[in-house]
Amino acid sequence: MNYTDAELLEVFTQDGSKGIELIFKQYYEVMCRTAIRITKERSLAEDIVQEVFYELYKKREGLKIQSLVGYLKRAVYNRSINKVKGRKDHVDADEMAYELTDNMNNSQDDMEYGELETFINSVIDSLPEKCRLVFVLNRFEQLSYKEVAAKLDISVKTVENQMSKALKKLRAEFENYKYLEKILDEDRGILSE
Amino acid sequence: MNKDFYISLIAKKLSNELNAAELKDLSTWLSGDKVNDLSLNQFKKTWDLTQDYKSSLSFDAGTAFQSFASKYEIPTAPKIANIEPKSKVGVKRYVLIFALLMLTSAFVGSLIFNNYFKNSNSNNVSNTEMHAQTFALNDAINITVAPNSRFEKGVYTIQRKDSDVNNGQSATNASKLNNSVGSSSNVASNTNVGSSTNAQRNTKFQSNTNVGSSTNAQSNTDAGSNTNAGSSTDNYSVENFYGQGYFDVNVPNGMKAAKIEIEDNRYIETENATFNLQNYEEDDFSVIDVQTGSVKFVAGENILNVTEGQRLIYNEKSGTYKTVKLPELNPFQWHKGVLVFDNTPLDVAFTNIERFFGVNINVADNSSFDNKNFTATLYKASNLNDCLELLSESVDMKIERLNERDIQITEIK
Repeated sequence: MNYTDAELLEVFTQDGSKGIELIFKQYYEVMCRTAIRITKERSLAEDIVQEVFYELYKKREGLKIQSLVGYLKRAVYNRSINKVKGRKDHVDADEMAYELTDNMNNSQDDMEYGELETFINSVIDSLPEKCRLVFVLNRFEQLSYKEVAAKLDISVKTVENQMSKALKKLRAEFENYKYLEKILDEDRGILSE
Repeated sequence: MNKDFYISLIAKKLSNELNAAELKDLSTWLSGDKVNDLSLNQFKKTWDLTQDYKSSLSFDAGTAFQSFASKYEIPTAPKIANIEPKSKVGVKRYVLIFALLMLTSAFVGSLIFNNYFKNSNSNNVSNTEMHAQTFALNDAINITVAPNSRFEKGVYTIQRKDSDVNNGQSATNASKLNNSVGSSSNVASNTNVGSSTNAQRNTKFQSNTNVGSSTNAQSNTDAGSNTNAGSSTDNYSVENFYGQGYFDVNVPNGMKAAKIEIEDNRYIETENATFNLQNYEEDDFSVIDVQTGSVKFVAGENILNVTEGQRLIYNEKSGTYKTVKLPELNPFQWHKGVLVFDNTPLDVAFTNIERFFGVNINVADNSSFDNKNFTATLYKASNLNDCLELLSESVDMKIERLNERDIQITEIK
């Protein structure tokens, strides 16, 4: 059962522990998706989301929120971005050579996916970090180029370049994927004859 | 214009970032060549494909919430409706969490502690209440003691880290002191320890009659500067601890780790940690659960570091030990007055109730314990009667409270 933000906040104000349980169960999954798109790591994403819920719980007295989901989303992606920025490899990530990582089909997460989804995840995950962040924030968090630039402390021009770069690379990889699929289908056809 | 420029415009188009001039520019380019138009379609498909990025990952909010509530010690809400009587056949899961707000504040606990010591001539401290009690032992250690738990008060000694050569001697002396609290010879011993170096910060109690008096605690001027001790009302250490205690240790900067003696040659040292210690006389093992920080556990020759998130189980008889991850069921909640059962075997649940409330549960026939577990949620049950009532509603058995402390259980089906 889904509650409106107003209902959730009303319960939360009256009974912090009951309220946080309802809020948590309603928004946990969607917040985790937001976080994992930014961090790539499931456990880190879940930790971040739990931290955000705990922060909310701690601030329950005197809390003034208009949009609960807006507040949570903002908190989750701010915290996620900070974590990613804090990674050691972040500074040089953009300079890293672009190549498909070998994480395809490796992680437990990916086992839950179909083949194409696994591929999509791998391709986006393997984009250089800044490029991936720019793409994710714009594509999934609906941030404008200007907002992405402000969030990541880069210029709008850099955002434009990174978006263009991301799109080109993704397209190239998907073309390769389609080509490989075709070859595999042909092989299967030969084997079945 | 090169192709990259137009790819950039395509990306902008897909992101709804194009302005009028750019849109016009892109439209001109697209209409100029079919290949360009095809190119846009391919980028559009790519863009659409990415919408599946991590989209079908599933997260179990229910399980995650249990973990969240446990990790951050958030009281969980009741689900009384989930508790149903058990049938005779088969295994059913019962859910039962008793959230009991029983603690007095640390301030009140401290007052009780003071009064206890001031009115007692004994070194023994025992929590005879039916709820946990929290005491501020000294500047560095707060302890919450479960019912029926006890320990002996000792000399609390805190030393600066930079008191090098004399440290060994001081430690030895302090150890001797700890073993002889209450004897008249302590006075001399304290003087010797304290006078060995001004770098030391020693805070001691020399006799039972002095215990509880902060004036006496600070009167040992030879013990170096008492600045750290001076802010504390009480200054005791823990020795020979039996039962369960939740320790919150925070040694001031620059001072040596605090020592908590369990029994015999076993003790814990830490500078900064919160942890739970179970050392019940009837058990063959001691359990240390570290919530934050880390502790050093010393048992004879064994010196073991237990860090945040770890549980150490030490078998006193065999001298063996193992370190495991903390159980999912929060082992620290009891000190806040929360008792949790989660798929807990019935016999273990009875033991937990006994230790939580300081009562005795006598089960006439335990043969039907098999496969009976509790999993559950109950909110704000305020006392033992509430607890027993819910238990009887959950499990087909007869519960009789014989007196304040004794409970008889029969006819478990």
